[in-house]
Amino acid sequence: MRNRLHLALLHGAALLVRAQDRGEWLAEWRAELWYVWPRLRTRFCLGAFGDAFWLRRHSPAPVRLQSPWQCLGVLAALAGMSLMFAFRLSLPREMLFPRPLPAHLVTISGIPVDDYRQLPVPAAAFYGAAELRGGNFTVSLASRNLFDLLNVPIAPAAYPLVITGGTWRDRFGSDPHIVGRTLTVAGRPAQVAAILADPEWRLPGSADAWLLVDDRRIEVGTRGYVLAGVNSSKRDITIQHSDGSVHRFVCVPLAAPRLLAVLLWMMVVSATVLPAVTSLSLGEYPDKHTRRWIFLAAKFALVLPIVLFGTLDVFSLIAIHLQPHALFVGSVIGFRWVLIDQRRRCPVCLRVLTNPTPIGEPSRTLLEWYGAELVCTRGHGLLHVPEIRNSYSEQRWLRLDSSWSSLF
Amino acid sequence: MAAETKLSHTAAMILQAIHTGDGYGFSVMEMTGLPSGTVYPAMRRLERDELIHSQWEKASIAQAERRPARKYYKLTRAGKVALEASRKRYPLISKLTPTAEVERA
Repeated sequence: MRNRLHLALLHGAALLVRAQDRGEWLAEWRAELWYVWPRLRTRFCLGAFGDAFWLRRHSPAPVRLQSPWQCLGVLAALAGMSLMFAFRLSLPREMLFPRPLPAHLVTISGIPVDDYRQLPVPAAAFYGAAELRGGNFTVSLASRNLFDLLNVPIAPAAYPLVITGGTWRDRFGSDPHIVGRTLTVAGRPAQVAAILADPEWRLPGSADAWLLVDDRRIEVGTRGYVLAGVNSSKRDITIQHSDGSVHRFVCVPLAAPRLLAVLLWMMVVSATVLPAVTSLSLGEYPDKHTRRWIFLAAKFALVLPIVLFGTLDVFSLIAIHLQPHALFVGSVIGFRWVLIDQRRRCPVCLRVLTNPTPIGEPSRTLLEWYGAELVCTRGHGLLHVPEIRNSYSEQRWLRLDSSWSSLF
Repeated sequence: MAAETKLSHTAAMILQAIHTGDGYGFSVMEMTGLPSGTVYPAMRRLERDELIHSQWEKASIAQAERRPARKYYKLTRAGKVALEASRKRYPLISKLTPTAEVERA
């Protein structure tokens, strides 16, 4: 198992290495790993990321991405793939497009089951506070129609048990055959009838699972929650008891989470971090290059779905609780790449500039220009990139006129 | 790379370790005490600067000893010159000597 983890780390790091170097790079690290003492192996493998990053930083841009059209093509293909997987994988699909919620569903908290039975509403379901133990998770008794109200399909069973996605992962190791299995809950057999997907509207309470029973089996005096379909304008429900007492319960609308909006908002937040990880300046260019701005906008437009759907796809498979964090980091990395890629392109033909040449000496930084020069292979100009950016030394584009054309 | 090029202390230690040790990545880590995330990128840099060169061990030798083939690094002529210069600058690196492998997976 640990060996697999180490190999997975190496394979993960290898993704950073250029495809043509990857095989040899991986072979060297795998061979070295064999000799490393077991207690040092994890640290050893983590070091592979540093090596892979170094190789990536010092490798020329892949030829395929040098042309703007091919760059956009690769990005579009990645966006299309991540979108396709988001539609094909069930969890990302449900997160992006949650099942439509029946209109006017509300929840009422802390209501006794006796009051629930007198509620003047056409459809309602009760579930108690989590009071039963089913092995190492808590179970609450619920009305049989609880999940019918939520449009969640339940497999037929005598005592159906619905578990949350978190319980399924943490307590049952994401067992794909869990539905239909008989478990013992408070000494009685119950059949797992459904797994409640994580992005499903979250029911109030702390239950890990719901055991669906007839309402009559829920003991008098039990307090819990009610899910009810009510008139849209209803904010509270009043129950008049025969002894003259009046109980008033506040209704809280049960809204489906707007996950897509939340995720997009997170990406906006990550954009605010961008100035901390890269310069926002795109350099000084004397001529107006509309194509350059269109190209920048197109890259942003394609990186957005790649990061959003890619994160949803990958982390729904490996660690769903890390999705927001991964989305944040992925957005920062993606947006940073867009800006860095834009800065190293020719503003005329939008191809990646090549042949970086160091100019000047570090010891003369204050007196002379010191940095690197890159050239457009089609002869459109030279890009001066200062080693140290300051107020008087920005990235600068020098256009070459037609007299230089004989060189290219 | 020019003979008078000044190497960092880490690069000089790695050159010394490759020169006196077994010449593969993990032996350099053992000799210098540096982590893999430092040693391997530094060796790539030294190889790019043509101070060292690498060569895969013959598969038949490794197979005979029932182990995976290793990639060995050796100093180039420029590397030897740079190491000599570094020894004058960092005299203590000459004390780096290989340690015996006492434990393996």
